[in-house]
Formats: sequence, structure tokens, C-alpha cells
Amino acid sequence: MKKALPALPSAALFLCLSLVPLAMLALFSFVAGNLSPAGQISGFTAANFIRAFSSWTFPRLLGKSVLIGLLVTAICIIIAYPAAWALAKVVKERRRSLMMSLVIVPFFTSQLLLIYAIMTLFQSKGLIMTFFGMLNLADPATSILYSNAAVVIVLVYEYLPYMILSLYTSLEGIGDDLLFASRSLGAGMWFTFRRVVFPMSLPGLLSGILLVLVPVTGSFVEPELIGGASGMMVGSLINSQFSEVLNMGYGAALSFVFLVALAGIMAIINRGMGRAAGV
Amino acid sequence: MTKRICILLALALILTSLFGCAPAPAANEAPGSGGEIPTLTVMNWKSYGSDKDYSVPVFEEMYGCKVEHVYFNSLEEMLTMLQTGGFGTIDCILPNTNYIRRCVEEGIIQPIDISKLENYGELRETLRSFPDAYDADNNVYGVPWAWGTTSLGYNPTVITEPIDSWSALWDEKYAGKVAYFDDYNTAILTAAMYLNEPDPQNPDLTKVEEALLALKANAKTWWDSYDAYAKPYLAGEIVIGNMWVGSASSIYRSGEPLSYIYPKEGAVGWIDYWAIAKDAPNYDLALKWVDFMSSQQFQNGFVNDPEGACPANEIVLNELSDDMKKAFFIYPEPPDNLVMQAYQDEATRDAWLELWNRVKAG
Repeated sequence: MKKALPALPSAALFLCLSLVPLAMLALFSFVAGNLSPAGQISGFTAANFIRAFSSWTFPRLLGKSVLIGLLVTAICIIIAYPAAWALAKVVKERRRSLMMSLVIVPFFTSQLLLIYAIMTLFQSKGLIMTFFGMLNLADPATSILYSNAAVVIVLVYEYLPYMILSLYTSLEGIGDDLLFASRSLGAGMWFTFRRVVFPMSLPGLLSGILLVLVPVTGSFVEPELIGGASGMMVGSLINSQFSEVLNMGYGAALSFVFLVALAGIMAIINRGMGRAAGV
Repeated sequence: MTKRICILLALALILTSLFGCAPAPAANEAPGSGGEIPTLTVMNWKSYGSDKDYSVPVFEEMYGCKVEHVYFNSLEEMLTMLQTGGFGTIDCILPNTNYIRRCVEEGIIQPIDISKLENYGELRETLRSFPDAYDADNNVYGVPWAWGTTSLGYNPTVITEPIDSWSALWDEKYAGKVAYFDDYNTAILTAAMYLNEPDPQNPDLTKVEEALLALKANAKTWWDSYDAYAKPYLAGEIVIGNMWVGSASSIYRSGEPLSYIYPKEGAVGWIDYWAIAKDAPNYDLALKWVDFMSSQQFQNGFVNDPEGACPANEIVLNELSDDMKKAFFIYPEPPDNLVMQAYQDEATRDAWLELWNRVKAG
């Protein structure tokens, strides 16, 4: 009992901020329509779930969003590994905090401002398009904004720091003596990476994937601002149920299915990674 | 964030009902007895005409009363605040064409005795006649105050041919250069007008969906804010689209080329109404307020306010200078073929949103 006491506050927080909302989401996904102004529930039904799969809209958007999420996560991993490695092993200790703060700086700005900044850079007659125009590579009056490619670029830009920081914490913990031992036993760079570095960085990589894949798959601001006419993702569909028609039950049901799908994908990734590392 | 604002507003509401309301009954019991002066409580968006120096001080002077404002950030919030302790405290509210039918049906507002309004006759007939502001017995529940449109805007330096129809948005010439409002209601009403549906509020949804899918092939982006339209427009990435008259005004007044026209099939419109809440503590004073808001005196101040909107008073509207009319896009005449964004029941709203999401996801 004495041992359990200090854990009480965090357990209470976990209950209030995680389990209760989840239970409410599950409960509301069975509510018919919206609550009355007085907060009364009009009735329970499974119709919300049937409706979610009665047309292609939701499954198609869900599939598309997961694909974009996986793509963005993969690009983040590819960019973040060398960056995190450099931070942990190459940069001198004195410079490290400066480099770290450079990675963190984007967090000081609101997400919306980051998106608008990127839009200004990429828009037609903007800095990047003018530069390409001068090299005769593209017409400066066009731009890649308002496309799915633009959404991927902006999402990578926004979520890269999470991946770098997660990988950094794992890579930093790998002792130089281990790398030295691997090399002195005749392992090449690739072999050392595959058998020493990668397995040891798995916890960081997994938390990085969690931090990037989940919010990216559920994003709706970026696709609405720069995704163009075909940019819609599943987050916009869920958002519209709350912000436009206040159909709380249907919105909750869509969120619930989305949550289950993401949890399933994370479980598959978790298992796959473990197998790849031979753990 | 929103939750914190809600809590603050709720606290503010409780405080005003505790302190602001206390003297009011005394004033009602003994008018003119030299005691407390009556306090009129009105709900509106912040900085939207009624709380300016050409409104509150003038009205307080005219009728020897005080005017208190309660602000909301959405009409949904206005209704919630009214229903959670606002009755008996709030006198006037400001629903629009989307909400007034619902307010009438739910008994949130009460009939307005228009025989006691001096300026009602000066209000533009096409605005007054919108049926959602009446009940079955022809009682008036809303007095038009300000109005606006969501119509067709284009860049006249790029598009030099004359345009008078929504079909321009479907024209292959402008493929990849079209922006369209990401709002299921406006999206479907506009497509219904393009299709010349006899009743745009109740169109053939199959045909509308086909038309919107065809439009999607032309569209560059769906916009949902001033910035989301103005940025690609000013960068030249889009040249035509439906847009708010307010956005059109801002771009036009900043000196950029823009034509904003009302297609022959009609344009989407909205009206903001003054209405009197159920159990309003000062019904007679509320009538005076509604009348003052319609008056030439107030509406002249309103049009000269950079944050103002198109006035509902016909005389004020007609007396505007040509430059002002051009800035409001009502030169030479205001449009009279508006299709108002009317109230819809839950099933219709769901069906329309689902259609629009299907188009965007398809």
C-alpha cells in the first residue's frame, strides 16, 4: 500500500486524461446524432458504424491517410538517422546543445505559422519557384502547392524534429566501445549498423514512428490548406462532422474506427521491427 | 482553448446576471420614478456595428438607458449562452438566415410588433420577404440589419471576356485555376443554381453531385478563409472562383484587379437579423433598439465603418456614393436574385455534407 501511494497522482492522471476520454469516445460512437442542448443522449445505435462503411468515402480516405502517414514516416526516418547520428556521435560536445536547439526551434512557432511560412516559400513567384525559373527548370508562375506532394513535404518538415529527437536519445546511449569492438572484429559499416546500431536504436525508432505516424495520419489542417482539390484526408472527414453539422455520434464512430486501425498498424510495425532486428 | 473561453464566458454571463440584472426589475416596476435606469442587454459579434461609438452612446442618450453587450464567437455559442441562463437577462440577439428558422421553431425568440417600428418600411423589400423570419401566422421574428453574398469573383486582367454565368467555373479554359468554397451548403446551392434547378434549396442531388465532380476536375483548391482565397489569387495561381463579398471588397480596396459579379442564375446570400429573445426583460426598449438599428442614422454610420457590412436600409443603400457602391459591389444596383442560406433539418444537413465529402474524397 505504501509503495502504491506515490504512483497515485500519475495513475489518476492516466485515468482522467486517457482512459476516461477513450471510454467516452467508445460510448459516444454509439449515440444517435447529437446531444440535446441540455446534454441528454437521444438513444443508442450501431448505425454510425454501418454508415461509415456504407459508402467508399471513409474507407478510401482512411487508406489514403495511412499511405501518406507511412510515406511521411519513412522519409522522416531516412533523413533523421544521419542527422541523429551526427548529433550523437559526430558533433563535438560543446556544439551539441546549439545543434539541438536548432532542431527544436520550430517548436517555438505555432504549427499554422510553419505551414504558412512553407506556403510563402513554395508559392508561385515565391523564392523557390523564382530560383527554379532562373535555372530554366520550371515556370515560376506555377507551383507544387495544392497537391498531395505538397502535403507530404510540409508534413515531413513539421514532424522531422520528433523523429530526430527520438532517434538521438537511443543513438546517444550506444557506447563508442561497442562500435570499436564491432569494427575490431572485422565488421564493416553496414554490418555494424545492421547488427549493433539498428537493434539498439529500436526503442527510439519505435517511439519516433509513434510520434510521427499517428498525428500525420490524422492531420487535416495541412491537406485543407495545401492539398488542393484532391487533398482531403480522413481527419477532414471527422472534423466536418463536428465543425459543420455537429453529428457527434457519427464523428465519434469514425474516430473510433480510425483509432483501432492505427493501433493495429502500430502493432504490426512493432512486431515487424522486432523480427527485423532479430530480437 | 475554446473550452477555457467558454468557461470565461459562462463566468462573465453569471456575473452579469448577478450584478447586471439586480437593478433591472426595480426599473421595470417603476418607470420614470427617478430610480435606476433600465439596462438593455444585446448579443452580437465583437466590433460588429452595434458596439461602436456611433451606436451605443447615441442610443443611450436617446432613451436614457444603458446598453450592455454580450459577445459570442459563433451562432451556436450564442444559442447555448441564451439557453443556459440567458432567458430573462438577454433582450436582443442576432441570428442569421441559417439560424432564424430554428430560433422561431424552438421558441427562443418572440414576435416583433412591427407596427411599433418606424423604420421597418425603409428596409429592403427582398430582405424583409425571406420566409424563414415569419411563423405560420405571418408574425415577424427578425428585422434585417446587414446582408452579404457569396458570388462569382475573377481576375479581369486574365479573363477579358464578359462573364455572366456560373458555368464559367466549369469552363475547361480555366482548368486548374478555379477556387471553390469548402462549405457544403454554399457548394450545393451554387451547383444547383448552375444547373438552373427550380428550387436550389431542394435540388436533384444526383445531378448536383455529378456537376460538383465535374467542377472538381477544374478546381485547384477548396478555400475556407479569406487567406486561403487571397493568397493563391494574389499569386496568380487561381483566377476565378466563388468568394465572400467581404474578401472581394478587401482585395478590391487594396488596389488589386478583381471583378465580383452576380451570375444570371443567382447568387448565395445571407442576412443578419435583430431578434428579441423570449422573456426579454425590456421588450419595449428592445423594440426601440431594433428600430434604431434599422434607422438611417445608424445605418449611415455602419456603412462608413471599415468593419461594417452592406446595410439593409434601402434609402441608405441608394444614397451611397458610386465609389462606395463599387466597393460593396452593389453598383449600379444591388442584386435581387439571391438564394438565401436557409435553415435545414438534421437529415438534410447530414445528406448534403455527406455528398460534399463524397465529392472531395472521390
